[in-house]
Amino acid sequence: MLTGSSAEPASDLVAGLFRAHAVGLVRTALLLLGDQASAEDVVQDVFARLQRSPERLHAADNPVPYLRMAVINGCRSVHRSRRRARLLRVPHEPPVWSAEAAVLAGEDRRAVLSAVARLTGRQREVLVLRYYAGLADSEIATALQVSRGTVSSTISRALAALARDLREEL
Amino acid sequence: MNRIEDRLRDAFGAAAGTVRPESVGVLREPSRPARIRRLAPLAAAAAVAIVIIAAAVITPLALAGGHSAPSRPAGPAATSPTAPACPSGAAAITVPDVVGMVASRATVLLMAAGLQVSIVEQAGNAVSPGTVIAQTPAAGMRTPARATIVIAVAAATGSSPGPAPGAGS
Repeated sequence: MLTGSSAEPASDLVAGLFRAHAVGLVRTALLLLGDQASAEDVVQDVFARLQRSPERLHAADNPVPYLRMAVINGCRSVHRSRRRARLLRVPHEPPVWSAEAAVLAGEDRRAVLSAVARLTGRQREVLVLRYYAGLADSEIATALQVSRGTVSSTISRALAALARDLREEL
Repeated sequence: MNRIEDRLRDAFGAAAGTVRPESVGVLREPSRPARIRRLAPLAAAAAVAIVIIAAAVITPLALAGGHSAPSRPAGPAATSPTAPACPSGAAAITVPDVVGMVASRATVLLMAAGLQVSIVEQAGNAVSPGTVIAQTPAAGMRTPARATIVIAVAAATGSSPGPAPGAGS
């Protein structure tokens, strides 16, 4: 269905995938990065690469895992450059939960999101995939190319870190 | 743990909900791929080199007690990532004026112009949060393609401001 033998030109295929999945992917990237502009850039970048090389999709029946992994990798790249920016003492804005939180109701959500922003990248990823995307541990393991044991222990540590962090804030 | 899990689902759901489908826009043209907000490795290395050189130049001046030494040593360092020297032969871009715009719109505009963006939060006084207070280099300056423009954005009240970018002058 996704191979070049179909009558549908590759560009329409990619545009169709965008229409179907972009919003969900931007939401996922937002949770990993903290601001919508960066999230949109990551997702647009993923689809731009797809437009240039649509053969990346050919092996998959379901394009969603590929798109999701590409977005996660894009977010990791943004985090690396933010860390580099901090090293060079060119200040980069922290995840803008404070600005977004003006739209969100309640101290509680702001506290939770700030605590999530303080976790490591891998911890944040597994939490977003489980508690936002609703994936099972086995699916998360496949998505991130790690073992199920790694997923379980990462989630446990992440939840424990959050519990400590949030209790301290109260 | 269940309480934490519920709070996570709720907070994630609410945050994700702030992304309205209309605001995500359409697929961009492949000929102008989106620039992910980052410092190019070369510009980053150049920035480090310039910071070191600037520090080496300014320190002896300051120690000599020269009143003529610039009183804002952070100035050259803060603006160095924008690569002030335009290498001959590189495509030059005129920096657009984004002061006064909402930061997200300024970012889109700068990236569409082929530039990269670095954001500094600053106490905004009377300016509404999220608005660009200052930019460096200034509007109208010529920079190489993919140079980084630093914009100072008014912080929400209560958050700590970043250092001034030393815009223009």
